[in-house]
Amino acid sequence: MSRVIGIDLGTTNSCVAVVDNGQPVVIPNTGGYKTTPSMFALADDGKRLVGHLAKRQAITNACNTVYASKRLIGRRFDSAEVRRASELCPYSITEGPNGDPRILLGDKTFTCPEIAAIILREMKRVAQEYLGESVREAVITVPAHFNDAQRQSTKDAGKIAGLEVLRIINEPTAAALAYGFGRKNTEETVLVYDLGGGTFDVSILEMGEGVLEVLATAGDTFLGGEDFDRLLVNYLLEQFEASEGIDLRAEPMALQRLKDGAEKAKCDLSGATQTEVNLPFIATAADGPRHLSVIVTREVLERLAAEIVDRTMATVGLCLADAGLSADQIDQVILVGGQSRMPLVQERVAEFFGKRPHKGVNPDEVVAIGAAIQAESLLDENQNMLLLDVTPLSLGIGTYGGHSAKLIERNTTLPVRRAHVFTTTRDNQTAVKIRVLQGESDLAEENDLLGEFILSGIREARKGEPEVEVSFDIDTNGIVSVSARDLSTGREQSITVNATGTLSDDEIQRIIDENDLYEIQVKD
Amino acid sequence: MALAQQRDAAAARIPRMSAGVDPTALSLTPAEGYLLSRIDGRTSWRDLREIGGVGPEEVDRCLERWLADGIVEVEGGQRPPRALVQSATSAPPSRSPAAPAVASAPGPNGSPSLAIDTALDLPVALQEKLIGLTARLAAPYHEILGVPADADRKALKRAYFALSREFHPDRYFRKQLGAFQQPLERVFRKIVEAYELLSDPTARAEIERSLAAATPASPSAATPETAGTEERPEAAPTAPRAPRRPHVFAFTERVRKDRKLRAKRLFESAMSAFAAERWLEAAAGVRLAIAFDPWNAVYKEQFADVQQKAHAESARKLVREAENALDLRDYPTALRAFEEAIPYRPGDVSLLRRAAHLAVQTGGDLHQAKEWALEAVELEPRDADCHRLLGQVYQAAGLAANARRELELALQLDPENDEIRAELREVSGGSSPLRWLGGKR
Repeated sequence: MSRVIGIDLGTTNSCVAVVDNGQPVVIPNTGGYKTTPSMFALADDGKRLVGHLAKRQAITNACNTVYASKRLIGRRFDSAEVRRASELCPYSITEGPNGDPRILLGDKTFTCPEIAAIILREMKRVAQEYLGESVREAVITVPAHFNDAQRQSTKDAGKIAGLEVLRIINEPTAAALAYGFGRKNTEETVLVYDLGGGTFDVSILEMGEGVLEVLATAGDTFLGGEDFDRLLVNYLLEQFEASEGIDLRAEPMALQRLKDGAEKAKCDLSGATQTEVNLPFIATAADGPRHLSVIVTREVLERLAAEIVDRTMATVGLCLADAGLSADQIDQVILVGGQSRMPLVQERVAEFFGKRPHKGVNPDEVVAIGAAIQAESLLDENQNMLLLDVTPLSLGIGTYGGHSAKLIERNTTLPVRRAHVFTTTRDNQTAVKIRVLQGESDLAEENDLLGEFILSGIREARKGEPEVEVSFDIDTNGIVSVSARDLSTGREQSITVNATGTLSDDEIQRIIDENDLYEIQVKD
Repeated sequence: MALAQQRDAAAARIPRMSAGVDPTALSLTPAEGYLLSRIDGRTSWRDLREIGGVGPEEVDRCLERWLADGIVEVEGGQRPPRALVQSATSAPPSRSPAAPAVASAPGPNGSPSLAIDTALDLPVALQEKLIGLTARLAAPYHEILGVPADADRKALKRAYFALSREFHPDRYFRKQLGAFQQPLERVFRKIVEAYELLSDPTARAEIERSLAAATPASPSAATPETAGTEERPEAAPTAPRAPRRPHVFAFTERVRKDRKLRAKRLFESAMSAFAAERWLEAAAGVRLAIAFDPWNAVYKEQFADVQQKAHAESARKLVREAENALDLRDYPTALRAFEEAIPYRPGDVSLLRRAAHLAVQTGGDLHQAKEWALEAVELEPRDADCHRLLGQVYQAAGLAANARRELELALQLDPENDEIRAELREVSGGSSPLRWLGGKR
């Protein structure tokens, strides 16, 4: 039996792990790094570059280098998030035929699952080189707050990368699995604060006897380390404009250098109280070259970031309320994600809980480790850990007047199935349209539309008489399916909720074929 | 629950499962199993004949036989319904044979009935357990979890975790489960439902009440709507016993008219209250009107005006109350009144400052105080006193670095102020209890 790997497919960095002889190990890439940048680039000569290679050339090839594409996956092109991202990113984003965002590199457009697949394929390669055998199966993590379309797209990405995805699990849950591994006999309530590159999640879990039960989860899919970088980039832009009178906002290469500089400064400031961003020859004025040299203190960064950190603490409060717990009932706080290294974050967390966060896990690697543990737990007879996860978002259907009727509340344990009986509102009505929504709002339009389907073939009768039972299922991957049964005729109808913005099977196959061609090409 | 039937009384009779019948114990053909699974206590004999899949004669023959055997009983016809005295502890609810029946009897797709199969990757002992459990899905929740009726939360959790380890579908990932696949999921979902409802004090009280009432009560009380229908939304903790109603896509005309009329009356009386300057009453009235008729734009428009007046009135009252309390040195009351007044007067810096100051002085909630002071600073960024206050809050919370930052800002804005200078000295010199946290030097 070939080994199953756990992949943390991050916004900025990805990480792969495997359980070896009962011990989880993080697999370093050929450069010796335990994490690989989630970056992909198309070089001028048409060569495809992934990870560190892509990152290294990003400055000179800013327009053809993709980073943080996880922020786009499974979203609609016309969503606010995609609009915001296209303002910030040097690469261009276009609309695909399904209303999904696509990325234009050179003269080729890439779907978001395709980009994710390229990163996943790289992680697979890293694992294969380390293990010396081929790998076909994986557990992949996603932010807890990913909706159905985002999960589905991530699963598609795995398929394109030639991986069978055993399970999609939530990042904070994976972190808790890694924490709980080897602590089977402790009964604890833990809170995972996961501030990654692009997303923020909080989960509260109760663990004991090798079982992890998720009590509640909350988060923000568009808040993370990248936002800290962005604030710092803006600060640097303003400083430079004030001193030199030059606006660098329209210079992609300068922006890319600023972004790198800001990221580095941010990391430095986790240890030092001040640092210098030094970018020589960043611009040219009439009388010669200009250099950017700005001292950034930790105070400045903290003032810029205070609002974001406060936002995360508000989400923590929300999650506690959902779990019905108060801050002092949390036994351990686990910080996950590179951004959680920031002293301000640690300070706020400690202030909120009145105790120091747990220090025993590596925030960059713990999620991949948890994924590997979950893979092992699924396949091994003497399973170690059992995960009782929840759905992060409520599932509902659109009703008359633009409202949403919730059928499955958020934080319901998975797998879950709820059946609901529907009837008609007009005499001899034979079909009804059902819109499946995901989200917390009572207004339909404020939720994500997972898909809509028409339930037809209802027997003709007076209004209110026919009874159609519609069942909504959410499986352990968090993926939704719907089926309907006419109670009077017994007629069944299974419905695929094809999330708007995801790829069709044909399209996935086409991409797989194209990529296979490409693989053969490189090997020649 | 039963539809009132008229005319052809015989055909309108509604068969239902008899109390205490275990469908798994019966020997049925797939067609019979299908028919049995259709008997839901709502479908009439006539409708059952028309359902298709099973011929009308076959339906009559089966139903007559089951009637004679006491498996099924009828109501709504000449035969008066037997008083359904059930004990929910032993009997499946009358109207929910679906769960065990579908799981055990052959369903519409002709799935084989549940029997021990040694070829499966499922230990025989577990198969036996599953067969037993699927038949008992309608049992009271604490029996599902195998705990005493008065089990505490800890015992519930232990039982839940232990059962999850045994029955969670992940335990049998990629295993050949054959006909046990669905029953396994069903059992697990039931376990979750039992745990969730019993962990919720409100739902649990409700369950205990109806269990106690079930023994001597009427048929309706003895029909735990949720039991056996674990997949129905009314099993949600908030309304564990709400009657099952078909979900209507729209409000029917009549209901809508009724609601509109009520809304109109409420709105009219609210408007006369408004005219009499009874703002609070007016606001409550309009809010109710909108609840009854959320589509009415006029109400919504008016609401903004009314609410503004009402807020001003509330704020005035609360501030007066706070000031009275301050005179009496009743600080907690004063603080509470200020706190309540703040949302009614957005942007009122002096109110925010008074509240934050009071909280710091009396050892109130510092998180809240910080929010207020921050808001004040945002509203008046050039005001030294606002920054100073925020600094004081931080200092009270032991966040020396933040306190210093704010006091420095305050001093910049008001360099002559010696009090701020003194406070700043104190912060810089004193040691913070949370010093180790930030790594600040």
